[in-house]
Amino acid sequence: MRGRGELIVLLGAAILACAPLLFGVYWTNLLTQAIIFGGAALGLDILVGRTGMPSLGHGAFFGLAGYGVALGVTRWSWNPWLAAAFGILATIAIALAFAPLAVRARGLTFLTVMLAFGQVCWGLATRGGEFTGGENGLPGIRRPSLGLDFWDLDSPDGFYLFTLLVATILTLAIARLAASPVGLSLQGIRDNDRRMLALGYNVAARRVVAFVVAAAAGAVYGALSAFFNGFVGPGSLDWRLSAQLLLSVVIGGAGSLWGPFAAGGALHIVRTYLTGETQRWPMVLGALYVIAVLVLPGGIASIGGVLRRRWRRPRRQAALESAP
Amino acid sequence: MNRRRFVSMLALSPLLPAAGARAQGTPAPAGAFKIGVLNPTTGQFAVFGEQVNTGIRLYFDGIGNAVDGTAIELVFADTAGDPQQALDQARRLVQEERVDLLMGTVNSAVVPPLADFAGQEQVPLVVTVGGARVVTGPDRNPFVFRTAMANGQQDRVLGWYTAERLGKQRAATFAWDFLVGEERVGGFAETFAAAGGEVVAQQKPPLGTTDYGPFISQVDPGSVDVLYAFFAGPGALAFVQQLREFGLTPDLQVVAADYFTAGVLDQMGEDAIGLIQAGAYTPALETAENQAFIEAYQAAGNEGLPGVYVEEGYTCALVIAEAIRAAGGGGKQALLDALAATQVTGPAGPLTFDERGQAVRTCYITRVEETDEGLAQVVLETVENVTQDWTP
Repeated sequence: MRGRGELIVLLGAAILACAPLLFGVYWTNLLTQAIIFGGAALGLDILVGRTGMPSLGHGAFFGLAGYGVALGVTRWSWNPWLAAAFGILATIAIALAFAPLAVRARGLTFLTVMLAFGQVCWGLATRGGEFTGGENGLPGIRRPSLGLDFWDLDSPDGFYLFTLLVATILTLAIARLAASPVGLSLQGIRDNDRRMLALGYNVAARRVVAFVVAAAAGAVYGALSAFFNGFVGPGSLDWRLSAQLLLSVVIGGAGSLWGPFAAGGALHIVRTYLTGETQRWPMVLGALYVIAVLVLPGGIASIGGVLRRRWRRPRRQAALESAP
Repeated sequence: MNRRRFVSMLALSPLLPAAGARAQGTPAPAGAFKIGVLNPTTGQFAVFGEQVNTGIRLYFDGIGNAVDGTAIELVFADTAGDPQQALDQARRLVQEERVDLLMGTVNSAVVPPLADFAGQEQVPLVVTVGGARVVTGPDRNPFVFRTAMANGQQDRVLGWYTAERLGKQRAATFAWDFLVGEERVGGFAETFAAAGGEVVAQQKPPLGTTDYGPFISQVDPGSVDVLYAFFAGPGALAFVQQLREFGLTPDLQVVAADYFTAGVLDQMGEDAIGLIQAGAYTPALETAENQAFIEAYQAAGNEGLPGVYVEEGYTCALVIAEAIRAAGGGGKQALLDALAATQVTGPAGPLTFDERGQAVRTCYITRVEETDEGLAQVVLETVENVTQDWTP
């Protein structure tokens, strides 16, 4: 079974890798961002869908890593690879330090604690004066170089494929974790944490694992986003980004991993197009959320199952009626 | 597909696009010049963005959306005042809509990332309002121009005027705590000090504050003889009311950059009378260009007089149209050269660019006075050829 999941990820990546051949520069760039937001939503799903801890502050890890990268490259003139490592590792360290505190809270309390955490980060960035660039953020982030003639990260195609490669590796790692005994125990914690405790599992430690894995994924994609845009601003720490990631998980189908990935990517593409056409993007996002909750409580990921049931029900009924 | 084929594909795909033909975005109609307009039409800057867009439309409609037979096509996009969204939309305009030039932005924060983007994509960017100094600083990239004043440009004139002409010596400054406020107060303080004044107190309320009580009460009215303020919209409105409630006005003179009363002058009422501002435009100018501008504004169905934001949009459009005319279809470099050589007279007077792409304009010192037609900004002094690092 595990082999099949990996094959599906690789197949998806192979299909996405063909995108630059079919689309222009614009769509390649748009897909790069779609993968970044989709990937971040997938990472968040480990925490929200698998462990049952809804977070409204996940954007903070995305933004913190971006700021780490930006500070390294623009303030301290580091090599972009070093800055990326710094941004990601520092974010993971912050997550590790904050996790034991955060995971004591459950449900709505956890959601609020994370919202507060995100707002603190946002506040530090906007009030950081010269150092963080305040409201203006930090522009001028150089992209790293692979040192390969045929793979130039400054080109849209090159960066797209690099993003795809990182996303593929990360997704395989997260899928493996989700299918592992630890991943299954996370689901157990989601469904009944007292019972897991009674069975002798260290529930708090496992919650910390889920929290840090999700934060690490957010950090990696945050660093990619910083390099992609060449810019980091307080918008990347805004609670609205966190809300969009959380909605991606809900609309995509919490716990399914691929659903949030698809929803996160699709939401970004829809958003980019809609903001050109209408000023009502938040309304559209809200409407999508309501529809998802009313019609597809399991999100996009449950469409297959819903359709299958619809298909089977009439046949079964017909079979019952034709019975004597 | 097996893993090996996927890996070989991944390695190969960066090569292929260069060799093969690629899908292109919507091509512009033959000969048309496409301009991408990036202004906020949602969010806290929406009201200003709409006014800038009004000015831009007003100018291009006035010339029949064509320059010397070249059709001008405007493509509008909403930045929401957010740098990230502005970048996403700029990418759409340049890479999909294939615009020949970008114009716009209201708030400063959007300007530096957009300027970087314009440099990478090698698309000319003419900034309408956003004053972030860095994009016309020493490291400026050659694709960026700004027709509005840079942050602090008019404040430098104001600082000199306050000390030299008004004879004030000790100032307290009030500005929202963000980079724009810092750059503006910096400009004011520099020329104020050079002319013998001294800033004795700097108050920095958080961006968007409307309760200034805690900040006003920290300034001892006896220790200062003038107050400098940089706020806008509802913030500026609340500030003048609270100054009066705390008893600082009308005894103390208040000086401010022109965005202070933009759109809220009538609501300020008596509190605004006597307020001295430095800015690039006031509808009170009696030039032929300004009269034509006001007539066009009203003929288009707008009530009252155009504010500074409408003028900024209009002037920026004028500069771009003249550059297109001068370039005469000679391509990107010709357009950049034409922009650099700009010499136009708009509703607010003459405009040229310095060697860093920053507009050199006339600065008007105005005072709010009661006239027969209600409150108006009456010109006290006109300072010509004001550069971004102006000194008297």
